[in-house]
Amino acid sequence: MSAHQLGEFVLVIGDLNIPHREIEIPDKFKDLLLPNKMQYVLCPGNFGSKETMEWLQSLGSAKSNSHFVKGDFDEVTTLPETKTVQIGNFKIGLIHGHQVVPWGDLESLSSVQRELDCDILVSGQTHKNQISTYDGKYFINPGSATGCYSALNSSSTASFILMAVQGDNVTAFIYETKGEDFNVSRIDFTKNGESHKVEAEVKPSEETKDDDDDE
Amino acid sequence: MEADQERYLEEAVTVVREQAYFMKQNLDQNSLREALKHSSNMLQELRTDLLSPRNYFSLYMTVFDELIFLESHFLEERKNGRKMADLYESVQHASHIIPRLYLMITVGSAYIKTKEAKASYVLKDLLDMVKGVQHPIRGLFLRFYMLKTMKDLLPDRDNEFEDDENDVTDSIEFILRNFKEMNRLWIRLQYMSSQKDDYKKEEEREELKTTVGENIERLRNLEGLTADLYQKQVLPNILETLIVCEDVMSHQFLIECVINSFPDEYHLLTLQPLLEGISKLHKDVDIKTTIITLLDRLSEVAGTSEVSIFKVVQKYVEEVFIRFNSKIESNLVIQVSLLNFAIKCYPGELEYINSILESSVNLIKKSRLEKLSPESMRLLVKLLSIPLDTLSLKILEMPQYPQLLKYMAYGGRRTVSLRIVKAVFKSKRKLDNQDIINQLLSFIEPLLKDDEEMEEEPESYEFEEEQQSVSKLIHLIYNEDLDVYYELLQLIKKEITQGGEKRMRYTLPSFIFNLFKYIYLLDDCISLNSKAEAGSPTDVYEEEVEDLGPIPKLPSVTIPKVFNQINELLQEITTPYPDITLRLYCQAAQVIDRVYNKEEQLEEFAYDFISDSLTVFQDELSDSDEKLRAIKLIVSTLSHLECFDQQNYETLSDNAAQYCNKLLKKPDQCDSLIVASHMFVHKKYENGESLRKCFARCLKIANSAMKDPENLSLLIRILNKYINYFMTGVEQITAGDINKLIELINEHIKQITEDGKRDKVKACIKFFENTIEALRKKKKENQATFENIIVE
Repeated sequence: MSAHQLGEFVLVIGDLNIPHREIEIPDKFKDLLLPNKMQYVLCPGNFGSKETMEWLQSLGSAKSNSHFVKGDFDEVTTLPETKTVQIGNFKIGLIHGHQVVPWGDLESLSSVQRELDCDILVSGQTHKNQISTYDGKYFINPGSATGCYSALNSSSTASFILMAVQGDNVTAFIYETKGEDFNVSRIDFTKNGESHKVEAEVKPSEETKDDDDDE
Repeated sequence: MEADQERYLEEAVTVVREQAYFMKQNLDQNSLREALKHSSNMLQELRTDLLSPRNYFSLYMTVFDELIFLESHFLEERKNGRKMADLYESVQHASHIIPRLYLMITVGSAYIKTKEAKASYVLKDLLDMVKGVQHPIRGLFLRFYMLKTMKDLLPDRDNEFEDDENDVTDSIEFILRNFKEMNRLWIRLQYMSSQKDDYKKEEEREELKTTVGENIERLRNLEGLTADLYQKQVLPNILETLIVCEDVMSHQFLIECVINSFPDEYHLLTLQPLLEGISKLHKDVDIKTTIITLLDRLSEVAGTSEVSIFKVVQKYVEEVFIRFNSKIESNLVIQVSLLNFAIKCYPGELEYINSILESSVNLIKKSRLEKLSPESMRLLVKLLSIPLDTLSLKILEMPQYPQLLKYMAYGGRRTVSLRIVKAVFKSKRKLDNQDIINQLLSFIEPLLKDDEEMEEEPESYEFEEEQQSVSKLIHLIYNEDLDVYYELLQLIKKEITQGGEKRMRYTLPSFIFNLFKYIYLLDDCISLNSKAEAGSPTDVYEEEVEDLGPIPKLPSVTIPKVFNQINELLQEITTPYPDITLRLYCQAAQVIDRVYNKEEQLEEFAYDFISDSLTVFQDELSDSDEKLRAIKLIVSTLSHLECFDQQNYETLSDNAAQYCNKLLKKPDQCDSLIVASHMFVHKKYENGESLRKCFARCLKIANSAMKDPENLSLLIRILNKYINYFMTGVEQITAGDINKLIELINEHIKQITEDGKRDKVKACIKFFENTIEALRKKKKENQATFENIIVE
């Protein structure tokens, strides 16, 4: 799988809450998240400090390709509460989600999706990663990239999502810590279509092996 | 003056060339007697008083070349049967002492080479004779000539001049005696110089130092100079010569010659006497250069020594600090060098480093300076950053580190402290006991409070970085024992609250989030204990007892106690930072929602937190956007909370709804009330009446706000909420309500003129279309529920 085949890489990452709740992202993730590797960075808020925001910006190909909305614990006050970004044939909406009641409820998030008129709505707040379809639209929550404290979720699993967007197709990888290690699961979906999970749990080492076999 | 010098030199060189010409001519004609006469005339020129040392050296070199020629001719003479003894005798008839001695040395060389005489005999004789020249410049060059001429003729181990009576010890003796005399002459120069100016005198001497150094060079080149001879004969002798002479330049130059010339292993062997000697040098010697040179050399071989030499070195360094007239800067340079030495040779000996830091503290104390110079500051940074860079957090075991840190300027102290904090993150070291926390706190004190000498406020971005780093540090505090953990948190709390509100803005949220985490741990521990209590002792014999694992002891800290503290802390930052306070109140209430069934008292805390957040909203916030965001957060939080009894819940939700109603802008009232409606479809306490009222108010405001077609979005949001509630079975919202609202929105859209269709209005229409589309989809999928809803 080359970058060319997969299209544009979009990092979806949020609820880091650095420094309020955590020092940094897990070491395993640090090795994966290197500067300039992605075309886009989408952050649905609660990144924490300006320093964290600048680090996230450095991961994208250009500062203008990083998009942030304001969470309930962000110190950068100039950010909007919602934002939309066009990537490939997808219009992607961003909102943190603490404003959307009940928290994490898909019907309520749907109402935001309708208002933003987007194909994919990215939100955070629950610290639980998920990729769901609802009324033919997609709802993505990258979870918390630090696995930090939340009153809503006692798990300390850290996660983020990497999407490869090309035209009407998206291949999404969910990176999720599991103890000392981490899992990657893959979900493919198309615009206005259905999503399907391709492989449940691909370990990074095995994935690399597959790559080698392809060549 | 300079022109005169050139002229004198030129004249002298002319004479030398002329006489050398005649000398060679006579030698060709085998007229040795005449040749010696001309060579003597040539050497007469070296009697001059007029030349500066540098020019005298030029003249000397010209003569030197001619003397080489002469010597080779003497060796030829030998082949013709001439005895060197006779020649040695005959040149002594030269009338002046300078020509005479130069000629004697030249013949003496041939005398030894031809083995007609024992080297030691000639050497001793020459050494006695050259004493006759006491003029410093002339004497120094004469002896220099002797050293150069004899350099390959000195009896040495396994060379041709060594025999039963002549060995390397004679050579050593010869050089040491010559060294002593040359040093004396060199020192005398300053009293005999024609120069008036002290600086010029120094310069003259400086130009002659290599002639004296030549002795050390000769000693070093002796093959037979064993460590034993060096230890017993050479070093004691040199040191004695030096110490007796009490001359600054001599000490400075020659001790460095010694350190640089002899092998490192010899220094290691003679470390004690060498250091002893160094510590007795003249007080005005620039001792730092000497010590640094020595430490550099020692660091190469210290590892080969079985015992550590650090303490010996440090002992003498301390004596040096007391004795020498060095500036504090020089002494700190020595400390830096000693520090590098200790880290390179003894990386595991933290006590060494600590003692250097301690000694540096004492140096600064003794200097009694009001303010250290920039140079001292720079050195202080080195003394503090070298251990940090090489030993990282081991510095925490050095009690003198923060002591020294105190002497840095405020800005520098903060920089070092910040680096310490970052080293702690990097190590991921858990801060699990009081000692380590207290130590760390003392190390990073400059970040924790204002300073008396703080002349200006740090840059805001610097301050922010520092405080955010401190706030991260709090996350590393942990101990399995919850009572201990609490004590550790209290240690930090004390520091944080003393830091003042501008620091608390950054550090307090982190601390409070850690208290939340702590409460969950406490709650888990209490649950485990009560489960264990319920399950014992009679049930022990039943088979299906849940395995609870080891039961942790119940801590003496209680959940209300922690909430009490949270409450107190939040009150401290309410006025300066109302927004963050309000958000933390909402978070705290959510924590109670997860643990409330353990303690009756907790509901009261939750009640206070929510009502306090409303008070903050009302009294402290002024910006209308900020107010809108805040009230939406409060009502959405409240709508999720289940910890209240009905009466309390209704009081709070009614209050909150009232605040929505009181927002300045009508659309904001509507926007917040739409969210607030969730308070009335609460899991435990549904309130149909309030919900109805809430939407009635929303519709009224939205309708009246339609002068601005952008406010259409309010109606569509209400519609979306209706659909949401209708689907979840809230009986107050009927299909009729939805149909009516759709109709109403359609009416409004029809009234919007083409001009009115700005982008935002178009977005509203799109929002509506999307909603209808979704409704259509839902109806298709779920005919039964949506039967009565009309979508085109």
